[in-house]
Amino acid sequence: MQYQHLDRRRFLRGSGFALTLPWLPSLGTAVPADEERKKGSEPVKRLACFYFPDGVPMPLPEEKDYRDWFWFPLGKGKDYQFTRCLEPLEPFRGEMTVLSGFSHPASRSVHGHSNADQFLTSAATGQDGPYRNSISMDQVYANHIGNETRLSSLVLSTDGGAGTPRGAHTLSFDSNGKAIPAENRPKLVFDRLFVKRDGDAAKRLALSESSLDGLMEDARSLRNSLSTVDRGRLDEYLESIRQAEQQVHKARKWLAVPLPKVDEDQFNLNISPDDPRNYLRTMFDLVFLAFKTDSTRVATYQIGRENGVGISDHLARAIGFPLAHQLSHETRHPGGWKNFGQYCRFLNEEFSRFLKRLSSEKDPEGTGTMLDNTLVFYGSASSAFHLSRNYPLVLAGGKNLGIQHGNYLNHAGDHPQAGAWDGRTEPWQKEAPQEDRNLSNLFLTLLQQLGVHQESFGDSKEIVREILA
Amino acid sequence: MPVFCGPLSIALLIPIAGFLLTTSVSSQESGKGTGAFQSREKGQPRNAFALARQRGSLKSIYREKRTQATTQPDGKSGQDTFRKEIQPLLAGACFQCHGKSKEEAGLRIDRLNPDLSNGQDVAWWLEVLAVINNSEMPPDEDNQLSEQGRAKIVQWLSRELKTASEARKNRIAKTSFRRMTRYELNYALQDLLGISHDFTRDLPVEVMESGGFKNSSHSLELSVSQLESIRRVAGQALKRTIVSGERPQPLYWGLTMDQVARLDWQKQEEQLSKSAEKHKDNPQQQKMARDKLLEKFRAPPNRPSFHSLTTGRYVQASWAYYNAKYCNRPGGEPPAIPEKTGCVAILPQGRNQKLTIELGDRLPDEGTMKVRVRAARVSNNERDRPSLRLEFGWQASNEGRSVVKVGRPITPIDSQEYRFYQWEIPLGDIYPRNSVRGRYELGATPSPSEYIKVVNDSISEGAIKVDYVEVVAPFHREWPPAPHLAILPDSTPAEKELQVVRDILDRFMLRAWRRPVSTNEINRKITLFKRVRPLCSNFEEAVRETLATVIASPNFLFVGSGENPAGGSNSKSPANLGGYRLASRLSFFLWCSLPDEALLQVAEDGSIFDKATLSAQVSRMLASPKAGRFSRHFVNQWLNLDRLKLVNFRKTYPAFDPELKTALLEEPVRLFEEILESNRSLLDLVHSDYLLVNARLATHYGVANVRGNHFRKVDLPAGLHRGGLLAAAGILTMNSDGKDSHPLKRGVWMLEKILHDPPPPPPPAVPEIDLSDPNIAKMTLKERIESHRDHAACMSCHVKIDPWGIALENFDAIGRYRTQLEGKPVDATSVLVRNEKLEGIDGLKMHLLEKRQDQVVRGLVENLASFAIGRPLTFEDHWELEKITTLVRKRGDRLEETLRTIVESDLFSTR
Repeated sequence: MQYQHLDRRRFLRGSGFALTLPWLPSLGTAVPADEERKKGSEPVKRLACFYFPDGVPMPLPEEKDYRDWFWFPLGKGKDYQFTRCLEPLEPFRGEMTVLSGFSHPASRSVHGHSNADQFLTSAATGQDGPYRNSISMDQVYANHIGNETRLSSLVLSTDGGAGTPRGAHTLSFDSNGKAIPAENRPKLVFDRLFVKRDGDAAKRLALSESSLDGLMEDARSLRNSLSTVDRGRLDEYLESIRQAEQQVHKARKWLAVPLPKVDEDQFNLNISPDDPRNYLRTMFDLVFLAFKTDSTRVATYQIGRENGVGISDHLARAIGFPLAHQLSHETRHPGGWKNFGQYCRFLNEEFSRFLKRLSSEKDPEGTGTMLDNTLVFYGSASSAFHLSRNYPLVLAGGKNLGIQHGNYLNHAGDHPQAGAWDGRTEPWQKEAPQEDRNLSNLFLTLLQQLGVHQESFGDSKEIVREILA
Repeated sequence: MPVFCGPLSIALLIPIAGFLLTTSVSSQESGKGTGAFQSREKGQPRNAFALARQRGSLKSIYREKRTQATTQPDGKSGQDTFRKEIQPLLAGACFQCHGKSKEEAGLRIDRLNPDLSNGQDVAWWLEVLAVINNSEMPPDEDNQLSEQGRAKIVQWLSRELKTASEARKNRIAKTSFRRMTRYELNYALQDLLGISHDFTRDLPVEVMESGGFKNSSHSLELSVSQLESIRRVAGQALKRTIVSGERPQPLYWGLTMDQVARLDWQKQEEQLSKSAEKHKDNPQQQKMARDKLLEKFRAPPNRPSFHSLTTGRYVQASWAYYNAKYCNRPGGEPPAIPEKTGCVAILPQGRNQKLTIELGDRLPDEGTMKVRVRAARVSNNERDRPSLRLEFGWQASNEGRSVVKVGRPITPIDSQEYRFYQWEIPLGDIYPRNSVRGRYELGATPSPSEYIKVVNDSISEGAIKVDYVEVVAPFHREWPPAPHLAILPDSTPAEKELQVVRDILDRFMLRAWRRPVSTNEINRKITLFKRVRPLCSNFEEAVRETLATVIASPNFLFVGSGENPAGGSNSKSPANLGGYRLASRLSFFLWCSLPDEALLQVAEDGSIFDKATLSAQVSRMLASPKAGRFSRHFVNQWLNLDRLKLVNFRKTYPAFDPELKTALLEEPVRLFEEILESNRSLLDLVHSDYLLVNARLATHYGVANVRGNHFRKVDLPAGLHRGGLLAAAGILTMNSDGKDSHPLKRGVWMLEKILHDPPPPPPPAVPEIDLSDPNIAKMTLKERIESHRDHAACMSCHVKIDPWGIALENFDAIGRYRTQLEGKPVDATSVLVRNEKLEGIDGLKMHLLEKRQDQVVRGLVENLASFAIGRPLTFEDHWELEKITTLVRKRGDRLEETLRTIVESDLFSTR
């Protein structure tokens, strides 16, 4: 654990009357001048994580829709075949890896609808009763790299806010395990990134600075009256004040750095999920632009909350259905697999478009394309009906980060738990036919490739060597 | 550090003989004393335990008069004595195994430096003293040491230890200078600001070192993140105290049960009309069906329900989150309180008897929610004493929900007449609140609505009826609120701001920093005020910013000092500074918080140094409800009850329900409080002839006729094998493994907490008990342990640990008494090193009372003293502790006297 970075993070969230910005989780603090940043510092590394709810279509091999609409590819290794579900990702075959048979052990027997909260954390958030979460993988990286950019991370979701325990509207959790509220209004995201400042920030920084000065004086004067032994104790206080002051100075410098200029006309920023395709596209584009302008290097976007509650459920209108969650329940209806599959395909099309933008842009901050320097993680915490195992997962990008792509890591094998719900015991209540691998192993691997010196994450046991070049 | 020895700590020390002050002549000899050395009651003691306690007290080494200890031998003559008398004794008794030819336990006694004041071997000598004093060494088979020789060694060592302890004390700088703990900061803010909030919930929890306390100076670090959290807490606390602007308009809910029940009555009516519709062609059948339904409606269900006083019907109370259709909307005016209502809610006894009252999405984030419930007991049995509890929660969707207990349970509801029962809940303390408020409309899903639940909290105490519920939020008794006015005036004209702020700082800084504040210090804060004032939108905001730095200042956050609190000075009233430090130490000991004004007063006028005044302050402080903090935090930390909080044996023991767990956590604290409040003997912790129980715990123990959730003292029924801490089910549960008892854990606990003689940690390569061996698998647990103990690597420690735990084998994993285990009778007899037999819990207690009183009392004194001064005690404090223990034992081991003795000791007023 990187205590220094955690500390910094708590400071930023912590100083209630000082620094925290209302909706973005934190404000980056260091202001390396451009030239300083470019010379000799680490190459830029980014992380983007996406989540979609309600699992994926998984007809049984004997069903006619299997070859078309089974979410996972058929086959394994390099020699695999996309179904129509993931087909839109075909152009990125060489720059992505599909994974099966990964999940978080602590929630494998919990109903899938309660599990978005732990997707990036691996915490035992459980089914009911007292709730505790832990830091999410993206925030570990944000704590590590966040002071290089104006915003330490960009936290988005279609439903907005923090949501509720086991019904999160965000993928990101801070080092205390508290949900970081996500923004869902494109206009506000854009303004925050490129237009407006937090008018209060300057005032709060000035107040904080005055207060720290006062505390420093108190401490110095107290120190004079203390014995040598006690001075040692107080020095810890003085050192903490000094560190806090440094943070304020850095934050003040950011206020003077001009915002990147981005033309607003290219967007319809007043869009809502009622226009699903354009809304999704706008949200992905905002992540792309935030990366391109190096406003942040960490982004999460929860495409929908679980269980068909809330506005994200309307995204199914993109393919002519009223509610997305319902599609996952009606797979026994005629055409059910296909309907559900088409919805997933729609999400994958927009995801593919995002990858396309990253791969066609030369990285302004590094070598190669933006995709080469960006790890893109995309998936869900349930697979077959409410089943919290064998998460459907795609990892893309990061060629310059030592990632090797082109494979389907089919750990689940050819006969994972699948099929429509027969109205009796649900798949998630049944005994697992085989053991999944710990998803936190993958997270640990990604964090290490991002340059975080960490030996474990959550319940990780080892790294996933297969994705390393 | 060698395993045999353990850390250099007084913790190893077994009470020792050899010295007492001249003043400590035992009162026993004159026959007039009232101390522990005399029977506490005239006539025959009541039972065997009392007799044992009486016999045991006579054995105390602290009662002996040892004049030779009053003259301090100088180092040289101590060395002479060693060479002439002690070394030959040790050579004969010890060197054979701990010498040149053999180094048992890595110890060579022949090489120990006999200069205790300057040498490095004090820890070893303490251990030598302990084992000789306890007759653990030399082993029986080759005992080369006569009783006389034993006494000589003990005497010499005791004297040398005293000399060394005092000599070292003056050489080593000790400090208890430390920041406040999280809980102290919380209380300090509550007391300083006069508002009750849980301020520090988001601060990191302090970890406690094994055998230590949370307030221990050397473990309280302060990182930048902690400092920033504290600054945030300070700002938030002042925001909750100092208001600005107009009084916020409250929302009012005045809810009769008719209104809360509206949907349920409607459903019942629908049932009737459906039935009427179904049988509309047959009037006779229609009537029969109707009568049948009505008869059903008149039977009271055993679930929360509504009862119509006009029709006599009942209907079960229902609630569902979706569409917010159960929501009761607030009004803007105070509701008129109805005299009588036609409908009441009935909450039967038992778990989960809750009435949900949905309030919508307009409850504010901050401020007080006042809830008044008009309720009465249903039964006319005077002995039924049900209690009410309040919960707060919300359900946004199928899986997104939360419900938490808020406020304290109101107990008992002991009137058959309707009365109002009231809670004032700080809304800002409730976590999590419904976070989709303001994002979704009321009626949409996820639902932004929130509710309260009125809960019958009784397990077996009868039903409660409720006929009216009133909610007001944000509730303000007056505006500005009293805590605001205690700091600053209602309004301040611009030209007077500086004068007002000076007045504010004068008073506030004295309270917060617990000492007079210099003009310089005040001027610094005035400068800060001037600097932030233009940035702030009003005077109050600038005052908050300024006072926040008084709280985040090290002058507030740090307590204790390495300087002699009775001396030292650097402020405008130098003579009294020591008095202020003493006042702080006292209040952080007994209140876990700041001194109040009365205590600061005796510090200012110097009368705190007057013994009678100090004693009167102790009495006054112990009489305050704030003293409950001391009992709770001391007992929780001393016994490490946090471990019990983590225990959940519900799966293996269905009887381990939440009510039991709560009661188990509470009992040790209540027992300690009873001993303190009634100034009873510390030895009541070993055995008491009374119990502190509530209904749930009484059931667990098999004590009849205890009703209600509140704890009370009851006489210990004969033959129950309870009383004291050792038989407290919480302690036994905490030291189990969820499946069965755990004699090893229990033994270690006994040694650590009661005997104050922690065993060394297990060696790295401990051979596991091999359960695949069929011979071992079929053994009883006790047999297995004995077999394990035969293993050479394990024996030396286990022989000291196991007997204590095995004596508790009559208690199962959740502390229930048992005589049978898997069809065999329980064998709870064990044998200590010196062939002393412990027979079960009662035998164990008898042993402690007869033979180990000094050890138990000395251990507890050390724990209390360490907590009192906020630092771990070491060898340098050895002699001070001996002095305190002597006085405590002479004064009858009474707990309040013990605290007083500690407060009056040199240890407390120096270093």
